[in-house]
Amino acid sequence: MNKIKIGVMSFAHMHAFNYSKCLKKIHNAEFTGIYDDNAKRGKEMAGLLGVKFFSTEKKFFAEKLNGVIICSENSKHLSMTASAAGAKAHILCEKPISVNLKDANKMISLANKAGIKFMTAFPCRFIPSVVKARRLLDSGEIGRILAIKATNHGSLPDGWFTDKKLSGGGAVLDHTVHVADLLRWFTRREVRTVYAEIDRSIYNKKIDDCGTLLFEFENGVFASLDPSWSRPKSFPVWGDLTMDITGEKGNIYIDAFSEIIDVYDDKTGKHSCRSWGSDAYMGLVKNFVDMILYNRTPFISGYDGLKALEVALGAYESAAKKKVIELPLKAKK
Amino acid sequence: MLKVGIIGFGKMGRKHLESFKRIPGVSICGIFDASPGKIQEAGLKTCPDYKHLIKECDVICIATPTDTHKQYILEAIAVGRPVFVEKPLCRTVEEAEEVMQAVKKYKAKVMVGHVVRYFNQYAAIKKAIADGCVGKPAVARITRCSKFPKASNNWFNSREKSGGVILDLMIHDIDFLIWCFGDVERVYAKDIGREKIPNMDYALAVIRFKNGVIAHLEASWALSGGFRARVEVAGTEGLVNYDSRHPASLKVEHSDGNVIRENPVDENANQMEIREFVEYVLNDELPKTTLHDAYEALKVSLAALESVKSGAVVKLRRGKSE
Ligand SMILES: NC(=O)c1ccc[n+]([C@@H]2O[C@H](COP(=O)([O-])OP(=O)(O)OC[C@H]3O[C@@H](n4cnc5c(N)ncnc54)[C@H](O)[C@@H]3O)[C@@H](O)[C@H]2O)c1
Repeated sequence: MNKIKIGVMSFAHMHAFNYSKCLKKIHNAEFTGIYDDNAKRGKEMAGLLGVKFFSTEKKFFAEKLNGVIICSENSKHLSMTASAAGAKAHILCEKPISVNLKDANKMISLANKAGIKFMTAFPCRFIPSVVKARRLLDSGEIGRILAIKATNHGSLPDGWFTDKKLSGGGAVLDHTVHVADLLRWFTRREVRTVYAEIDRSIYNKKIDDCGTLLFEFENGVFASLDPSWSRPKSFPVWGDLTMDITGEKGNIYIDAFSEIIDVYDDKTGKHSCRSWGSDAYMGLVKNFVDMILYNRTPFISGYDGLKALEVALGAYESAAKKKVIELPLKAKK
Repeated sequence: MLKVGIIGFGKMGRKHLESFKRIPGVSICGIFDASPGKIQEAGLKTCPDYKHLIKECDVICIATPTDTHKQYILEAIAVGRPVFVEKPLCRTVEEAEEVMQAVKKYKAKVMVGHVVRYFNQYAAIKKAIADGCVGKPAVARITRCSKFPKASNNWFNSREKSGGVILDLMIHDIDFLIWCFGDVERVYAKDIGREKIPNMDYALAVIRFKNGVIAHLEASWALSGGFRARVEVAGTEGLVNYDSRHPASLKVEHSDGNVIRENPVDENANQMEIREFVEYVLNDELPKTTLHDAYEALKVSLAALESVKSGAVVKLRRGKSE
């Protein structure tokens, strides 16, 4: 059996490194190489990972890749998707799918027209506690879902994440999409209304860093989410993903990153935690490779990426207008 | 197809059956147990003669009471069958010497199920130490507590068969510490054996490793319920800690009051060790648990039991087969 040839486009997003390490371990995948519009970064990563660096998209796609993983700045997802679609390479695109609905729609239709598969990278769908929770919910263990209280806290990321031109938004965009996707996956419903309070009170940068959302699904289930980059540098972990699900017949509590050992290291001068949980990136990348290999429908589609993005964009609109916003969002004139 | 024969169909034999069944390219050749009724109850075919089973299969998995391991290991490796055997390797040092010599003679593959190495949390502790998080390790505290285990004929209650909580439970942590710190210099231990309380055991031990690390170990079969495991390692520059009381990643509360706490993983530890055993047999990839370390862990556990008996510090001796 031939190996599935996969390349990574851009190392702007640090997940590129995680995905690359997975690619190297998957025996039916061949990690062909790296393209990066930042040649210095790309070369360095290629050296570190022991793969080839390609300085232009043309050379990169001349390798006849079966698939690419796009980890550029969010605003460049569209142009890289266009290139990959042009080269008929299947796509795994880092979240959020894009910075606005127009681009996201365009990406989906580019992929459709080219006849390639487009998958949105939501690794949280591969966390064993999350997967198990969904199974329990489906089996009726706690009856109907009534409400969900969620957090996806983080620390302040560096670099382009806080540059709105490149990222499209701050904490609210960065983290809302993860949880919105999981809750759509759990409830099998779309979000109907969103309310959000959003600010940039913690770091005083030109981008949102904190907030809280309260939103409702089509079936009346409501959920709150705190997506803030509110974990200080002295915090022992990078962040969290928690979901407290209230059901008719019981509760399910997910604390996805609680699988840790404590490390007190004088060199860092603080208490920190290391994860021992299963590697969700591996599940995601394997799923992408298998999708290509066995010609499967994407497990997480471009549409899933778009609908999660819409919740975040709705939150921004709500905060700006100080009122509840209905989804789907109306197309901008 | 790699044909597996299982000897002993109790708690662990059943677990290993499930793990083997999940591995592609592996089939179950037969199961032998001294009480064949259990196998029939599970709807499986019993194999009336273990000698026949050993002949028919490609590899043997032994999950019988500890004092019966040696005989099965020897018979399997004598006819070239790789063996996966539950920990402890066997019951006494003399038995272990016999096994080690036979392994050498037949160039046999024997893997001992020291499963703690396959728990991600313990692997993470070892990695953190290796990454220098604690600097030079100095002192370790490790704990493993449960209620008294249920088993066939209540064999854990027999010291002659099981070796009590030191040989059966503490050996897990002894093996883990050997994995982290290497060979042991001396050991001193106490247990509640003198009380002769049925279905209960408890022990504390202090181990000095050749690399200087001092370790304190607690093993208990005296909890009324639940399970507790902890490990803490402190050194010149820091400390690492794992506690099974860390919050679980998944908690389910039923309205009837039933609560379940769980840390789901992609591949559980038992599955991982069995997969590594199969890869060892088929591709010669060495598993995380080496026979040498299993032998060492057995010797240290038995030295601890000797210390309990004599009330003296026991220095580890070189084995005949080393
Ligand atoms: N790795 C672990 O976490 C772990 C946990 C428990 C036990 N163990 C080890 O696994 C082994 C088995 O323990 P268990 O808890 O499964 O015990 P068990 O009593 O549940 O199972 C033992 C089985 O062996 C059978 N048996 C007894 N004597 C036999 C003989 N001479 N020949 C063939 N079959 C015989 C019994 O009928 C029983 O079905 C022991 O060595 C024990 O120390 C390991």
